[in-house]
Amino acid sequence: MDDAERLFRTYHPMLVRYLTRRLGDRDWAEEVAQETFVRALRQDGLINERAWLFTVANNLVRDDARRDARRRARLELLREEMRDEVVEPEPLSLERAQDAALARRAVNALAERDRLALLMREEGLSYDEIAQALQLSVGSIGTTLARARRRLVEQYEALRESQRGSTGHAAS
Amino acid sequence: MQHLDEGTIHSWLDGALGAVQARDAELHVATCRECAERVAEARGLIAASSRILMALDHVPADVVPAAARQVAVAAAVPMPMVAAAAPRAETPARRSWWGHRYARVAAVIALVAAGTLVVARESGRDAAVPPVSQRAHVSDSMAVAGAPPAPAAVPNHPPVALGGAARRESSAPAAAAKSAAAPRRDTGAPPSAGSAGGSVGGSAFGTERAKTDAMSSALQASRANAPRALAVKASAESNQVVASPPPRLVATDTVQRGGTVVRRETYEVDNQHVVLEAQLPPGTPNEQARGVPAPAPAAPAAADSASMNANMSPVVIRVIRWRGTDGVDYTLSGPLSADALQRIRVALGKG
Repeated sequence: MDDAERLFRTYHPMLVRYLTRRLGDRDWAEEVAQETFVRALRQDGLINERAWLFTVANNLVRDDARRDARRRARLELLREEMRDEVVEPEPLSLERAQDAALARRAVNALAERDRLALLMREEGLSYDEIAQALQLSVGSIGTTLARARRRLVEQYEALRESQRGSTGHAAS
Repeated sequence: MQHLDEGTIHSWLDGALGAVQARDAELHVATCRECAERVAEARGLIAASSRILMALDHVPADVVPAAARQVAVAAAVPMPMVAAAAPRAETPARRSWWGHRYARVAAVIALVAAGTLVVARESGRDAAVPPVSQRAHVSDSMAVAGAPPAPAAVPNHPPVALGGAARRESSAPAAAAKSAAAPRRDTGAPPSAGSAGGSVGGSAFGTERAKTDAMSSALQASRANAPRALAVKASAESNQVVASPPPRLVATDTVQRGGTVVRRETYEVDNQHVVLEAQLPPGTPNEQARGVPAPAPAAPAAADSASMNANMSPVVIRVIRWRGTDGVDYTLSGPLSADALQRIRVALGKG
């Protein structure tokens, strides 16, 4: 296993999940993730691979990634090989789709910095890595995450209550 | 020592504090009830936010199926979900199927046909066969009689923090749980139901549906008096039963946290979602099942409730942890009482 393959196998699933959660679109997430790895292949001696990958992915989302067909094809091949190892989400039921829509709205209501910090933390990034990716001080990450978590939960519950209220009103 | 601010508490629970700071926080929380409650609340927020983010994994791109049986499911995706996706270039290979107009029509037809079939079958069912809810209730009663809930076990299992790498990065959260548990005892909270004897165990995952059905008994029976219990009227007027639906698995995923694989399952119970997390540390020997009471939730008039939006009521997420008979460390969290979580734990049959 060469270094590129190791990098891909180690970080691709978490990066795609992070981007999917951020973007709300699996295809887009995979495109950005692939572009991220394409760029990683051009780099030598990454010191903090995970922080670097997430930083680049964030930038690509911001800048709308461009493509590199040749290397993308190779990564696509790797991804196909890994397909059996990657946990794929189950098909959506109506309830799950509604839950996902509520979660999406709640997450989108967060400030971008809070949202990204929370999503990266969920993928296991350390405070140092989050700070590096977001160009924040390490000391501010705890407060950022605390605020993000509280607002997310409050927003989500408020949306759920609102949905229940409107459903009940419609039923009556 | 000054009270811990929320950022410090989250840093501590995430294992991000230095050794000295973590020790100071631990000492303070051990003696400060207010901070212990805030720690418990922070744990709940971490668990709840993790659960919410998990729902984001289900996105439109993944409902494009190849199998015909998934057509109806795909048709059930509400438009807001699709609209929520940010604009981007289409990927023809994956979008062409669903993008076809006739495929959408077929999906709707399949959904309607499936619904019609269900209605037709139900209406033609023999009147002697009780409704599903009735049958479930009967079987539940039998199961409960055979497996009474055990009293709560001594909280000697070192709890772990929720979310991210906290489980592996620091021992500080364990102290938080101990501290947070103290106010719960002080307030005289009722003991939680423990594991259901030998009726649970086995493999951790893979047969969730079957287990959920089989173990729904304890949950339904114990919830007969719950405020949100679903009242089900039997066909006979005098034979009214009250039952609650069993925990319904609505989402699963697996996350990698450092070197630990954490499997997460979201269940819906009475319109509330609870999340079961399971992790199997490498080399951990099997131990006797033991329950760990949840840390005390923040009181309704928690000190920091003022920081909340005035239009939103505080969300109290409770967490219970235990080690199953299969050696797996489980965490169950949700906006329910500790007793309700314990009942769900029994119903899920996770040991």
